[in-house]
Amino acid sequence: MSYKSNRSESDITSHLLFASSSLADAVHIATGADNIVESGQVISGLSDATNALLKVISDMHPQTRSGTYAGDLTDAPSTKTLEEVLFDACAAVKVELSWVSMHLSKELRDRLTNRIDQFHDPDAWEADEKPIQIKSLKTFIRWFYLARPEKLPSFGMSDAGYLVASWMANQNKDQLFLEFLPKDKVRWYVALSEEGQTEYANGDNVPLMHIGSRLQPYGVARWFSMG
Amino acid sequence: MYMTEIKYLSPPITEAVVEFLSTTKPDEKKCKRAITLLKREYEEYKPQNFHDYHIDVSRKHDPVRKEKEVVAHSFFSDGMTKRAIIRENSFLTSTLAPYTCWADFRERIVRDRNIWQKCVGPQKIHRLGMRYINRIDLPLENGKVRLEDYVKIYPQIPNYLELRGRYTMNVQAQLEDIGALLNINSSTIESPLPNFASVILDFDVIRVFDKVISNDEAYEFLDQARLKKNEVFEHTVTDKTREMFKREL
Repeated sequence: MSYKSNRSESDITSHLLFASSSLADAVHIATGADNIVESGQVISGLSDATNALLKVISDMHPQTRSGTYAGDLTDAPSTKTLEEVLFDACAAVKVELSWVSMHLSKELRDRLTNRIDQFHDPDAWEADEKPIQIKSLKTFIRWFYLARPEKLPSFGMSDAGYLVASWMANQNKDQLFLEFLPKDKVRWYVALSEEGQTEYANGDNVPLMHIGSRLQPYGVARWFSMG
Repeated sequence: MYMTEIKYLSPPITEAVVEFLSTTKPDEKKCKRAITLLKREYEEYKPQNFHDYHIDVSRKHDPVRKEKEVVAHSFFSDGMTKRAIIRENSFLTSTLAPYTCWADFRERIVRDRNIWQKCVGPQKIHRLGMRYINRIDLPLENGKVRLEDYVKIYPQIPNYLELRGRYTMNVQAQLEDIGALLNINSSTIESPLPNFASVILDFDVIRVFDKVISNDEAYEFLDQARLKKNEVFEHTVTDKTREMFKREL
């Protein structure tokens, strides 16, 4: 069981849920998207998002597209080195964050990209680890926009490549961990300590829209509020 | 006469692209020198394969024929968000969000073009293009959004039909004052935010030149195109939408 985090090992309780998960989707690597036929040429999008947009438009108006090229060029099929795979995974995160940069603070984006870069350090990479899953990042972004916690989380990544956000309170005795799964699902874990007794609770595969109500009994303000 | 410039705190621009299309392909040796110099300006460099296909629908069997394969040279910085791509006679500079300002973007375009021209020599510019892709995220109310509250370009449909799901439209207009063609693509896409719908407003300003233009004239056109594009953009959104761009994060 391993889990990359920006906390020291001692902060991570060993029985956490964030072990390697069999739910992992196929590894997402930024390799460009579908091809687009334009005036007899095949192009694909600069960013996945723009590419998807161009595809929609191209499908609808194949005969009218003759505008300024906003296209990417798909890599020729090749066997990527570990460094390339990890670089591409980090790049995909940056592009994804760029896509929603108008909704997320620079502080959050910088914190997240710095951590993702560290997690994908080729020198510290274990063979059984998976690079960050973009679908997990998308779930995090959507959750963050809904919850808008004042206190930014610390970030971790499970072996399956899922993003983990954690908050500590009460001298690190009260812990909240959220693991962001694909398709708007969240795995959560809470540890609350009072008078030397620690209470644990967790939930798996909780729909994004329900996570707020699931956590409400545990007083999330202790983790999310600055005050 | 251009409108006063408005600078938004959270502009909806997801991608901005400027492309110089010249009439000729540069000499390969000179091109190599330019690539070496441009590599110094960007964090990453990637040669990528570009395939040119010919599609003949009259051929029932095997209608797609691969004509040629050329290498395009891609340069990336700042987490892949600042890009330059050179392929054959196209020189393209782009930036993904967060879009800071035209001055920053222009400075990089000029820097890269200077490096390019210093190495490959003068090239006749056949076409200049400026493309800004905006994504506007609209909050859903009871699972719906009234497009007319936010944008002024959307499909008109009969009253008895209710617009559901996606639409895609393309509008072309002549921008007489700058001698350019404007291509507007608009469509709905899945929003990255929960309980939102997103609309794309994609503005592509293109001008084809039939005479040789200087660098100064090229940049002057880009400055004008950018202002014109902004003016058009302001006419395609409502005050309610503008308020969303003024929000501080």
